[in-house]
Amino acid sequence: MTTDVSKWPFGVNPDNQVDFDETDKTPAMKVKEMEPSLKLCMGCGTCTAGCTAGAFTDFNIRQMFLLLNRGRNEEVEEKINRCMLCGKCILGCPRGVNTRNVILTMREVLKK
Amino acid sequence: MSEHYIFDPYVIPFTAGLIFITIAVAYYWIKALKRLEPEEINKIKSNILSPKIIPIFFSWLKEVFLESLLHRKIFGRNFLLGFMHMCIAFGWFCVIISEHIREFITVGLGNAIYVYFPIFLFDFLRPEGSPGSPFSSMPVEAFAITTTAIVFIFLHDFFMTMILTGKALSIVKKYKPGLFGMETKTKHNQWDQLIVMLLMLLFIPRMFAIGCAMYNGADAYAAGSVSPAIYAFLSYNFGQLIGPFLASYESIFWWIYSFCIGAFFVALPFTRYMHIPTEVLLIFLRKCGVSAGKKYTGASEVEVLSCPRCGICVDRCQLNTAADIEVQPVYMLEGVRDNEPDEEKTFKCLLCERCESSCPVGINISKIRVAQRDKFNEGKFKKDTGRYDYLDDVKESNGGTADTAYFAGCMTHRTPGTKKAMNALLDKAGVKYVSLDAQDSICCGQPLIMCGMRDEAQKLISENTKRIKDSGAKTLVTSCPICYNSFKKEYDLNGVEVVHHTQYLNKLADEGKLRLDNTGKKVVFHDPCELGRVGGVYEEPRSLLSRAAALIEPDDAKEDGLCCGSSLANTKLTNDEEKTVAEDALDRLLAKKPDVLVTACPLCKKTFEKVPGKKVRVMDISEFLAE
Repeated sequence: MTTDVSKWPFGVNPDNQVDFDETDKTPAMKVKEMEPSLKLCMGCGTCTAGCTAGAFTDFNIRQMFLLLNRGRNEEVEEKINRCMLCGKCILGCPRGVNTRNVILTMREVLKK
Repeated sequence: MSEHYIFDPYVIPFTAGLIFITIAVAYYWIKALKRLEPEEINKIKSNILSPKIIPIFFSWLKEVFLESLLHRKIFGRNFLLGFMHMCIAFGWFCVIISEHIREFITVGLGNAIYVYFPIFLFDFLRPEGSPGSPFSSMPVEAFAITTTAIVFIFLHDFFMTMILTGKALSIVKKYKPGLFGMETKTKHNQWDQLIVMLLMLLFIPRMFAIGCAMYNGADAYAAGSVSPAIYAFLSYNFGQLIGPFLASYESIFWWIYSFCIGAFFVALPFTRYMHIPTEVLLIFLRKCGVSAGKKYTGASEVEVLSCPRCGICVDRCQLNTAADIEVQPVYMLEGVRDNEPDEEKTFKCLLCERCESSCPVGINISKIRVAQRDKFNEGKFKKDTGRYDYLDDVKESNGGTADTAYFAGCMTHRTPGTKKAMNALLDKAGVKYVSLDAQDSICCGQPLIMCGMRDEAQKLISENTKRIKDSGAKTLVTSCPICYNSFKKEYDLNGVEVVHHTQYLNKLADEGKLRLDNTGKKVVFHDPCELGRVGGVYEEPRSLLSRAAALIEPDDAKEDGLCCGSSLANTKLTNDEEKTVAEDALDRLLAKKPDVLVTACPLCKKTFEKVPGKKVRVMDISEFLAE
């Protein structure tokens, strides 16, 4: 007997596995090479909590880092330009990640 | 007067050099002026073609005299340094002028076309029959040691002594730069080193040549009413010293001298000494109201050409003194001038403007740097004109009735103590105000502008302008000096007065609305770069603090205020480099052991708070007053 999960009364997230054959991790590697402090990120989300752009949209800096690491570059490219470069994230970061330069580097790398 | 005594082949190197430098300087000037924006040209035209040109001309003359010749601003930095520059520049200028006048008086204006005549005057104007030079056909009556001749030869020797003193000082400076207030040695390229050598050299053959000429014509020089040992105290006595051995080589010295000065002229347009002619043009443009602006135009180019690479900015830069990073304006502008700007040198800078406040030429270094950043960013990122379109959906803040609007700023939201203290103080003073960014704030746009993305900041500026105007307030108070400068310089707010909270609180205290009790605590006030040097606010915070505490001035106050190292103008410095600057600045600020370090910028406050092992409380001025 087969079950049609889509008819269940709750949502099921789409498959989110990283497919290493499909994803392009070169932008992530390049960004980390150009701004090594990104490697220090532990994903605490302090940057996102105070984000100026995040107050208006679903822009989420931590998500940018995660998406980039997972090779979902188109999504990063689409959202990254919402950043206003105000610097609130860098003031809060407990790990000393140069977040503003990470954003600029991402934009620079993804343009290529 | 016969033709032949006013020419000898040795004048050719000098004359060729003079023609070359005239053409080269004209070429560079025209190239720069061609790049002026139309509105800048209109500004210059409207000034030149109106009676305004008369006061402009005189103030130009005055400033050229004070700055290009006397070097007043360098005197302000260090007496010896100024004295050295004045001796060389003013002394040289006066020698040129006095020798020209002597020529005109002695042989008439008719010879003015022989541009080389005055510089070799001691050879051309010589007594009949004196040996040494290839020719000596001066009619005796033209060469008479009259009172005029005595005065001008004395002036020549006086100003030559001045130049040689300056040269001697510059040798001392090379080995003991500390005496001249210079600590770090500026690195010059090989052309700059060459021209310094030529400048050092060219007065030596001149002294030898003139000394020999004096020795060879000693009898005629002694015919005047004053002894030549007195009126020509330098050249005559020097001639007596070297004459017995070298007098027969006089013409060789004239040749060497001519070569040296010709080579100096040929090298000049390609080296830092281009500032000598260009500064005159720069001062004129500035008097016409044209200077380097938001875009890199011809005015910026003239400023770049005017950089003398003196290196005063190198010692002022905290990135040099604390972190040993070589990005100072000397090197940055050199790259711009040679059409090979360096990306690292352009971006690794905190825009604290310590260099700019000390620049003896007054170059708008930060404006040129930001314009260069704009250029580097062209095409670096994907163009996205709609990147802030989401701001369109944001609810406009409802028009209020309050006269005063408070804009805390992004940085202040990250240091909420300042915001709370401000709210408490405003309530205490009974001010009716509306908080513009209590719920959702939009960045003022200055961080983008400083990082070289002026175009992208326009949307933020227009949204914020809308909000500020909708609030109906007449005064806009901000807690962040970065926002303060942004609102003041980038926004068009139709008469809304922009004040930093130090200014506003000071006004409230002056009006008696805000009562401050003196706590007697020892406080040091740290001038934030953006508030002090960029915004020009120095007195208000001091006036506030002297009411509430015992204010001590740190060694680096006001224009010398230190940068905390975390400026938003920089994205490329690493965390460690920033921290080094912060630690160094904090050490220098705490030298006088205050109880509290007070600042007026949320970013500076946060940076100093983060320095490990600090033994002092860091507070914003509003927090201190609220307590």
